[in-house]
Amino acid sequence: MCYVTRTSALEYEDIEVGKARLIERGEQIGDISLKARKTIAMLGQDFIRDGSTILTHGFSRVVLSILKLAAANKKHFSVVCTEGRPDSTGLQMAKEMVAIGVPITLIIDSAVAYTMESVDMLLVGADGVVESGGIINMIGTYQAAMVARSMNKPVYVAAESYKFARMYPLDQKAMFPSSRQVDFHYPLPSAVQVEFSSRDYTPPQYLTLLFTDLGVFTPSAVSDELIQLYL
Amino acid sequence: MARAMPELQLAISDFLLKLQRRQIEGSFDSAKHTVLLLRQVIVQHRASHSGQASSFIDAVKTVGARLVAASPIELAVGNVVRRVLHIIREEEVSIANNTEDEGETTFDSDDNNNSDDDGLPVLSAAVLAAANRNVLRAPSLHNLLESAVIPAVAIVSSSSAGDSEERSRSSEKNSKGWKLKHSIIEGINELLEDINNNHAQIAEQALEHIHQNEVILTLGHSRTLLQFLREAKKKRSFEVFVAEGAPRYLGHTLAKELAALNLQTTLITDSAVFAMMSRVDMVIIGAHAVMANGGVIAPTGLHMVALAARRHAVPFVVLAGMYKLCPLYPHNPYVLVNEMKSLSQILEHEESMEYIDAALNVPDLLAMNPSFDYIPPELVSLFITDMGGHNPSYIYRLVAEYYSPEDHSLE
Repeated sequence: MCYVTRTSALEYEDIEVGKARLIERGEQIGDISLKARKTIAMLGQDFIRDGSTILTHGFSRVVLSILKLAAANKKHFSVVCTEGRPDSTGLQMAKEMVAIGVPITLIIDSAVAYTMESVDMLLVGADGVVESGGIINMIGTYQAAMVARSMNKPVYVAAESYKFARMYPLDQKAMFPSSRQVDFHYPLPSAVQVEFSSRDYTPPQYLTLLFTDLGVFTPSAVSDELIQLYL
Repeated sequence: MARAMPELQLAISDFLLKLQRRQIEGSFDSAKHTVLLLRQVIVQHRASHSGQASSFIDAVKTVGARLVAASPIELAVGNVVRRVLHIIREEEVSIANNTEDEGETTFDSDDNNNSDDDGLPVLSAAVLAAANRNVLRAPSLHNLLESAVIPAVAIVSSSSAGDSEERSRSSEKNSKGWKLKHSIIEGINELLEDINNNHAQIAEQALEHIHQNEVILTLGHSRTLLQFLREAKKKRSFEVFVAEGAPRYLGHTLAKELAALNLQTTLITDSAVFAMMSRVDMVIIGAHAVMANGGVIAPTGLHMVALAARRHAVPFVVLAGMYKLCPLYPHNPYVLVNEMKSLSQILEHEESMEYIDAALNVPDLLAMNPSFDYIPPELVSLFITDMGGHNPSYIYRLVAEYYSPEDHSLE
């Protein structure tokens, strides 16, 4: 957002010029985003080997582009994706995988540890990459990354460089609140509190590599890149 | 592009043959010979006057790709090729900075890349990533507040750079070209010196890391380690456990060399490493190569030693010259970078013949002899390079300093 609005054109008297500039910037970022996804797909698909099983959580167009490119390059792999409550991201991912002919298994969110021994890697997208090298992503990512790390499975994150953010969360509550209504499908007594947040923060020690349009990075390299971006 | 001289071609084919036949083995020798060969390539390269540096880059890339293909396991060859390419790019930029039109010339070379991108549909991701850094990296807040739109800046400067190139070309044709070649060769000479001195530079840091009465453990043989311990011996007394390193048993050689230095040395079998680890203060090894994520390619058996060290909370120190640093990530680390050596090191020929089913001529007994192990970065405590001691998480910085992302793929 700041990319689109941070322009000196907004200081102009003429509203039309300002409007046109905003639209132009918006289209530009759409273009940049598309090109970034292509680069990330090329970098990321190298890490997908024949016969591997990939666990994914959440629905990310970047992850999707990596998997599509790998499938187009005739690699034989299969995907396990979590149901992704409450967003039902699993359903979206499953539809996409069927469309490109990749074997897909759907699991409930609690089955991540159960399936982790039979997968080769965890591949997720990110809503934001923070200064520590950690990521903010759909709730459940932290869990999956923790399980993956404890079972020595690599955790790969695919994120465009414009998702790098100058924040350094020290705990889960340090992010901007983002909530999503959860439907438990039965009436709850009114005294019951429900945890609504839809995003969690995964610290960098659980991540192996980040695929970005600026290259492949270890989590420790992220802050360097951030400094260059914000110079 | 100028044709290579026949004696240069001969030198290249000769080196290729030696690499393929494993007559040149080991990172140090491969790196040194590669530098010498590339220096010859640069010296004998008669560049065209337009886009001087890119013709050098193409020449080095062509030779480099052949060298890497000849012996993929010798990562040092690829490392040196990429170092030379980085030197060429750096020298081009610094010469451009010293003359006029600083920013425009650099934009020019990036736009050359971008225009190439439009022509070639399939381009390596690394090149695109590098191009992205310069043109698509819009969020640099410094640029955001410019009234001119960012891509337009790139386009405008490319046309003006074209004009300035013409002007500078006609006026200082020869001197600029000669300056570039000269500075590239200077850079390569520095690189050669660094490679030759790397053992000494690493050994200089020995006293900081080895303390009085320490017990050091290692496996196999390493030239760097020998010099490191020799340097430490001058002021400290310590003892060394050497694991023999089957099937080559190079540990025997190291043990004898250390004993000749009057160091208290104990030789153990590889299987005894775990048993002895509780008595050890530090494990120090030499590496074959270091990958961009901080992972280490080392002689077989060292991953087990690293695990034993981690289990006993013993620091695991890796000695590696900068020429061993590889800008590539291990996609398939346990399989990709490995070489199976001859089985004669494990089984006598007559023995292995016994187990071949005569009827089908298929061996019942298979013996595998991989040369290298991959050690993940989590198991390494410290890298000691000729540029100082570093954490595995710092390796990406060294890669960014010594290599350009455009050179990751040598095609």
